[in-house]
Amino acid sequence: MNGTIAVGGMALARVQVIAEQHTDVGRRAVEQTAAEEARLNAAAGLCGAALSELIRQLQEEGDADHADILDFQLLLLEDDNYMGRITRMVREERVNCEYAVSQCSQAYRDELSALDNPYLNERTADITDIEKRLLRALSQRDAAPVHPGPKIAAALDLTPSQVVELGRQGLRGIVLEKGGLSSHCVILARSMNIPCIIGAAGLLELVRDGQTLLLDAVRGQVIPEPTPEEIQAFEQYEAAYRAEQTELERFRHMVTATADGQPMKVYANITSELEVPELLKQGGEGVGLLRTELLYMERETPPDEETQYAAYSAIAAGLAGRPLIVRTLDVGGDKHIPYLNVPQEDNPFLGYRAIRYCLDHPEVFRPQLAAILRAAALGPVQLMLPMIAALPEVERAREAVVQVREELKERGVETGPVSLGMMVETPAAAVMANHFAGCVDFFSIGTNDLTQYLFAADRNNAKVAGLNSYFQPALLHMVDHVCQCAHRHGIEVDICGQAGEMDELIPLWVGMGVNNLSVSIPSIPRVRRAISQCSAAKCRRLADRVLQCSSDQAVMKCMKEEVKKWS
Amino acid sequence: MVVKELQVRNKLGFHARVASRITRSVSAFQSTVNVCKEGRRFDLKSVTGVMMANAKHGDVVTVEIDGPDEETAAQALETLFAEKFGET
Repeated sequence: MNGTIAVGGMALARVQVIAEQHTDVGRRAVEQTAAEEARLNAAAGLCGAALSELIRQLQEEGDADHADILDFQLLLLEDDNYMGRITRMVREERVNCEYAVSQCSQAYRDELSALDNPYLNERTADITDIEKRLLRALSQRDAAPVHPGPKIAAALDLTPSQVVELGRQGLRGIVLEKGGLSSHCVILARSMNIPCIIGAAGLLELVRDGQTLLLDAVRGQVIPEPTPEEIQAFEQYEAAYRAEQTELERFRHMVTATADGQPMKVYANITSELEVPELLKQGGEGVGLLRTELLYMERETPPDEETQYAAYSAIAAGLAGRPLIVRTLDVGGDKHIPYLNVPQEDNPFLGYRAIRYCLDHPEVFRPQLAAILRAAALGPVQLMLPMIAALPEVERAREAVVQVREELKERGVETGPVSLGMMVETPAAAVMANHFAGCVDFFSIGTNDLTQYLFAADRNNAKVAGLNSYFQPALLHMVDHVCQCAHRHGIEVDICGQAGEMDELIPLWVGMGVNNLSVSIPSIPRVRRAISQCSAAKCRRLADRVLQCSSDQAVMKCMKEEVKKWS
Repeated sequence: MVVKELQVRNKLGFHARVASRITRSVSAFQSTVNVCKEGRRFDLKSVTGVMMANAKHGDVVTVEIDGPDEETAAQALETLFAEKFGET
């Protein structure tokens, strides 16, 4: 069966089906309240012991972020305001534990939601998590035992703490019937580098608990009971992957530079603070693209300034002085957020999206700008505008930034210096790069959108995929032009699209003088290796030759011949 | 009883992680520890109490410590607040 690849890789292990427990939380009168209380204490004890053990292991490994999520839940178990309230309800109202747990959890969630503090409003997720844990412990049906050894979790969806817990128990892969590419579960899986496939419809009818499963998150396939040939293919992949990781080890923690000593930086594209520890582990030198859409998803209203500030400041602090480029909301296109009321359009990629929407909606745009300016007090934060097509858009955005900074000053809130850059992802911005370079502090080329807009070819349409190639000379001319304009005005130019992390293309980016490549976290060491094998001088000559080519085939041939001569 | 006025100096105020730290720290003492904010009283030995107090960056809160080890507990709290609960 097929699914969407959320985190790439492959895994072969037994299936652990994580079934959603449907505990009856209806009210039942209880005669023996003492026995009922004992049942509650036993369940709390089970949860507490499991949580403590998990926290201890995480702390031993220095994984403080994941440990903190669980530490809070552990405290809830000891808390009079939560556990105490449940116990009193069982005793005084003479009711069953399940009912009391469910009622008190809901009451507590309501109290937290009513507070004037968005950060605390969102802690309701922790209450839900501990509630589920308690209910699971109460229902003796928690029978599906956790298989020892390596496993692939199959579920409808998973909570963040389930992922963290499974991660401690030999989790090799995740496959979900539901799940979203930017859900917290997927972000955690990515931060733990666990292959993950989502949207596998009918999964739980297909797989059986304990069965052997091949999770192919390279081609997006879920294969129960794989054939010997399929297993062999997996083993080859594994061996190659391990060899590659060993080879890359020394590129994790070195300063990025070309073979002839030109400094460059390898940044990462991220969506959440949960990814920062893995970024640091892989040797990322900063964040070249923080996608902020996740903050706006799975909600009823836009996140306010405080919520956004909490997120950006956590990342800025975690990066400890490394740069953080925050891209303002890129709504529209393929990212639909219901409450923002972006109308249904025939052609959303050419529609009311990103900066076009934000400039018309200061009530959405300004809190984001304020949060970014405030986070800049904690480290080098840069602000990046998406989908810029014309100069007045930059001017209006800059005015908004100036006004928001004034307002923050009046409120007496601390801010930091923020440079203002833009994505170059419309052909209009690329053609006019010389003018834009005089108005912004940096460029970041979004090669995915730039390519599809340049060739008028949808990147998700297999029939026109041939046009949508990063080897097309038209695209390369455009990137080269943008780089030259940036250099002329003394500003930096980055690439944050997929083309930036392709080994075959990196010599060209080095040759064109791209300053920084922002890539997916697992690719960081590989990209650094590719850069270190390039001589900037040779690459410039290569770029000049490639720019004479008339087709993508000719570009590929020319590069292959040239690179062969180097080694 | 010892009464102290303490300022919340970390950027994010009483969020979940801070609540865990405060609760763990004061639970080691026998004294009761309450925080008063805008006329309401919250138990600092309860993680939910700390969160309900909802103190933000810059807020000044009144802390009441009552019991046999109130002096040491007060000192520990003062240090905890001064060190911004180990945050920034």
